[in-house]
Amino acid sequence: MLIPLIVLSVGAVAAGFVFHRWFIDPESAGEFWKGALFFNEHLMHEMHQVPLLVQLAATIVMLSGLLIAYLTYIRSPDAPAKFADTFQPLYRFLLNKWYFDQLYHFLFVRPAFAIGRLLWHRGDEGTIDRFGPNGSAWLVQVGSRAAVRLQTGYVYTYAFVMLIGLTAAITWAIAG
Amino acid sequence: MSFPILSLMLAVPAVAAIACLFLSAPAARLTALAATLIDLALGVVLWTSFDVGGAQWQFVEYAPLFGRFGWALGIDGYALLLIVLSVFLMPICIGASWQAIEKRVPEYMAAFLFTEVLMIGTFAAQDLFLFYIFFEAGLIPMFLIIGIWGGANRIYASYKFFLYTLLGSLLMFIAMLYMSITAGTTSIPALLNYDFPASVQTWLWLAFFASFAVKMPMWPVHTWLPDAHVQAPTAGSVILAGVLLKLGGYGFLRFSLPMFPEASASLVWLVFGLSAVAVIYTSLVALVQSDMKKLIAYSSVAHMAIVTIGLFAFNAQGIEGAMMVMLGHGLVSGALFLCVGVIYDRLHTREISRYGGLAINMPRYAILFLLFTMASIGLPGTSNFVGELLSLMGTYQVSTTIALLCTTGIILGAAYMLYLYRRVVWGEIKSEEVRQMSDLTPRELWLLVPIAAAVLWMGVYPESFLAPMRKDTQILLARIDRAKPAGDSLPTKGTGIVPAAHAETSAHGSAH
Repeated sequence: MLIPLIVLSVGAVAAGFVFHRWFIDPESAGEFWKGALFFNEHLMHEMHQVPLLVQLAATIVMLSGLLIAYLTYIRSPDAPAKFADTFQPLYRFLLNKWYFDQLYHFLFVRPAFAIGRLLWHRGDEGTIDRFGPNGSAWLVQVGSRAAVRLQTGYVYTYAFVMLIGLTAAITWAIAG
Repeated sequence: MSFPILSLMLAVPAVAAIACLFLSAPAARLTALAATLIDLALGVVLWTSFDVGGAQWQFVEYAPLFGRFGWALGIDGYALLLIVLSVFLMPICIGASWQAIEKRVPEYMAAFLFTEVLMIGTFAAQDLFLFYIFFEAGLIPMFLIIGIWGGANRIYASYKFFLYTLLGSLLMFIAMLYMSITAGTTSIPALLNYDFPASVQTWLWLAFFASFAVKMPMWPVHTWLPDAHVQAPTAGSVILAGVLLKLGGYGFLRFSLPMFPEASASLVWLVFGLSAVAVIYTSLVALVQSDMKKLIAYSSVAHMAIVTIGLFAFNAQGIEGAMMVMLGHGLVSGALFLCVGVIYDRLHTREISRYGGLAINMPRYAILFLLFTMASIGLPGTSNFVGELLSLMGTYQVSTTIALLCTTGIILGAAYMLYLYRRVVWGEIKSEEVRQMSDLTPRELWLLVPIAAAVLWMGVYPESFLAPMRKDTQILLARIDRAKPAGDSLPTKGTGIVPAAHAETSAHGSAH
């Protein structure tokens, strides 16, 4: 593991010296990218005009990180535990990654599952299937049961139905 | 092209299907495998001798039978690709049924070979009624496959599948009768250039829509699909998801769009609306499934909605993307059903919660399942990425809102597929019976690896699949362009990068 780390650290320190001419120099980088990336020469010139503190910001952050790492891991290794003890709420907050997972779970995961279950049971099963295929099947069953009851097999029942029909037809013909 | 290769591709499985009925179970398996492999070889010949950019209709055959009705076959690029997909999946289906089917093997093999005849026939038919016969008859073997060799609740599922599909198809048949009488021809190439009055088009379009929307399936007529998939044997699910669902998309492409362009344009809102609902609705339902097959079935509905929006985008990206999604989904969902079948054969349950930790004792299975999971999500380098990207790009030019809504389907797709994979393959092994499960056998590798190769091929070099359909898309667009709906995205051409010399003079000077 050490050798890859050494190789990478060499790159981390030296890559900028080697490649800045091609990647960010206002004079030569535009030629290198040839429009593959949008290269703003003007902005790259402006880069040198920012206040000194901005230019040094990255270095300052790096050095303070180095200092803290030295103090807490080499000088006094028990300091992190003490710090965590003293600032319990802050420690918890950061340990749980700002509670983002819980927030997402509450905002997206649980509603998605609830809506999914609702659509499945109330939508697919409770509405589409109930009134669609299962409903039509039920209607056919009920309809044929009713039809069975009408088909008594007695001639006088059929004659009576015919009579009603005839009366209705005549009434309609006269009234119309 | 005097050699009747299409008729031969229909004859080989048809003869084998009849032969199977008179054979013993082992002989029927071998006969079915041989016949499907011969058809695969013929499919390869068909593809390699297809003249890309040549005539629109190739391998044309015509033999008058009676009256106007004739044996008219011929394919364009779309049909070619779907036929190749069918003949590619067929030997895999036979292989997947090798041990899983134990009763009535000769009849089962005959039903599958008969399905192959009907699928190829549907894609190759150039006569309106010939198409209808192939399209509708496809119901019969599938009805039998689900109803006889299916799971516990197979009768309910097979009847639901049959009635749903039949209802839509009858309306389509009435529309076909009207068309053949009015236009005086049943030839599909002739009808493609026949202009029906706009008011009639709407009714004809709706009649065809009734049939294709069920086949697709689109929301809200999709509920037959989860039941059919859950009850069907593994190979039945593969062919159902792989090819039979594509009949709907092919129908839209072959009939609805070119024959009724005005109606298609005026009813785009209907297709887009139903598709957007389907993508979000069925993806959310897929998320909460506890049955693996049901989950993949619901995901199929969502993927098919990406097809329909692409088809009705009225531009080349959308239509070609929709075709790519159809081909990609045919491979990936087929493979996912095979993956479910592999572990179902070992543990005889589809309950997700019974599995877990399969990566530990089934590493080869885990790799292939992961590949197909990623392909189903639509990751770059896999077949579905190409199709979904093109389809959504095409849709964006017509409706930004619908494109936005359907893109959420991709995110939800990642959610339900990764959630499925996590529960089945990762984690710890929970029970002794799962620990006993063995890794893929050579037979199972032979089924899954070719699909994996095809999925990667489509993802890395989609040109092989886009080239045959490019000219057909241009012909289709030339036909429907007059009705093209106005888009709401109104993209404006960018100004591009300011030339370096120009920037030097305008802005650079003030900095110093």
